Amino acid sequence: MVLSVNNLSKQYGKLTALSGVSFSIERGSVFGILGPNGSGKTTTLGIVLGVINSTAGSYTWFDNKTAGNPRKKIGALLETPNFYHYLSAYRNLQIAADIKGIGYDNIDKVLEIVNLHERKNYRFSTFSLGMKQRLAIAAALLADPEILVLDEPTNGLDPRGIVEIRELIHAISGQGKTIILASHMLDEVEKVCTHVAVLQKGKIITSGKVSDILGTGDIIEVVAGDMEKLKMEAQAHPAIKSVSINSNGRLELTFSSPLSTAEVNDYFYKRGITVSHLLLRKKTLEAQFLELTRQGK
Amino acid sequence: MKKLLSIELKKIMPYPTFWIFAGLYIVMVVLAFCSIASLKIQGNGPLAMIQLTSYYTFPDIWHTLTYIAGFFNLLLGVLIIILVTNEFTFRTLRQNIIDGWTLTNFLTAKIILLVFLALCTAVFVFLFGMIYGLIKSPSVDAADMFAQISFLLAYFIQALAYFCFALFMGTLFKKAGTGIIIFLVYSKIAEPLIGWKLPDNIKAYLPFHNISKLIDIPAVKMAGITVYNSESPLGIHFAATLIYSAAFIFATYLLLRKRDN
Repeated sequence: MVLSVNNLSKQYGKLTALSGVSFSIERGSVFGILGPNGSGKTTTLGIVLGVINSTAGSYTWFDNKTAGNPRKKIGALLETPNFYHYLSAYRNLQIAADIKGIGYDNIDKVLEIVNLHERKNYRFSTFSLGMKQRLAIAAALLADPEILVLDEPTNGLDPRGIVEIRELIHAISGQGKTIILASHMLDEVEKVCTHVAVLQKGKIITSGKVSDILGTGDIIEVVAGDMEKLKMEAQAHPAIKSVSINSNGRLELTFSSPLSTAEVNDYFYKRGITVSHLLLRKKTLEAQFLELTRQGK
Repeated sequence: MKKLLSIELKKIMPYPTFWIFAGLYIVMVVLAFCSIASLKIQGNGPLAMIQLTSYYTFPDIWHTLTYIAGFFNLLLGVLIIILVTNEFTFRTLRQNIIDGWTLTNFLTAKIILLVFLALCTAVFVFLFGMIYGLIKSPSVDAADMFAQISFLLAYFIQALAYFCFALFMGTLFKKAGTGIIIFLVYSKIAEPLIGWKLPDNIKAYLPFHNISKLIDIPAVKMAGITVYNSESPLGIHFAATLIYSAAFIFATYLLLRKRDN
């Protein structure tokens, strides 16, 4: 295990930010921590990165098998890009490299990866939000770490920057490295993660493989001449869980056991309904997320 | 240790504010000393009896110069508060830890920086004193030149104690504005007020009173004027200064340890 978190709790006065959070992360996985704002993602990462004191619980990096400070082997971006405002990008990374005890050889390389190379001698304070975020990602990559901890890495980035960062995450995990990604965006987690823990109000409400947790819940949209009859027949099908007419006037079906569009078409055809529109749709991410968090209550 | 100092220097060498304060300190010390040294007392009163020039030549120049320079430690204290609070406002303390420092690394680096800066001020005062003394002293002999050089050690310890207090203030308040104001209000208003009603032998051990006791007013010695009723022994003031410095550092450590960074 690269990281084991055991029963972590954090109390801010009367507010419980985390309660009894446990999970472990295997080498080579891309582990998503998913949750709405204020659910405890940053608190969890802050604790395992040593900047927030936990009220209870414990964590271990690399099964306690590394000599020295394990954080030197971790590249992390926590909440905000933290740099000396008056220093240039390059000088800021020099300080990070010195603290990690590595040379400066990688600085130009990581600045190129995040497209900041041309601005390397500019002060951090002159950077836009997106550039600051990219510099923080460069700093996280600096030591070529075995583990990358990224807390909302696409914050403040434009769509192109977001795509670039996701490609970067894919490329890095392709090298067999472990990535821990905190995000409030379901599609981000779905697109890049192999495993996920869903946090809500400081508690893990579900965790496991992304395909098991986020993969269920397809919707099929159907339109036919006689919508009333269509609806009646749909309700009669044992594998159809719910039937509703959406705002476009189309019938939406969800399933208790998976059905293909062909099976649905066939089912209606045999009952004398000619379907004029048949569309398989993934359930909206928001809907799925709401469902996940509702289960947690 | 060298590594920690080099990191701290990388943080501040390109910082304009650092150079503004360092320059201001140097200019102020030189200006203040030169203008005080050019003062002449006129008339026939007892003050005119004092041989003023001896204050500014070897060996007494070390006493006068370190005493005057001591006033401008305040500038450097303000600078230290800015440097320390920057680590909180930029959240770079957090980043330093994420990058692999422990809190102890962070604090040790800061202490080394403070020692280094105090050393720099002592070296500057030494160089300025040498130059001024060599120009103005009527006869220069080596024994005279270095006879009271121990005032430089006192100055170094005094500056360091100031800086440790500033480190604590910066850590406690986390914001430069608040830290500086409380630092100034405490040292210039609150402590004198507290000292007002206290008996002298207790007042002398309040932090800033105690620090200032390391280098007493030169006139006391020269004119035989007693400013304080009870003379407290210098050795104890040195010890108290070191204890205060250690206490400020320890309090800083406790603050960092207890807080979420």
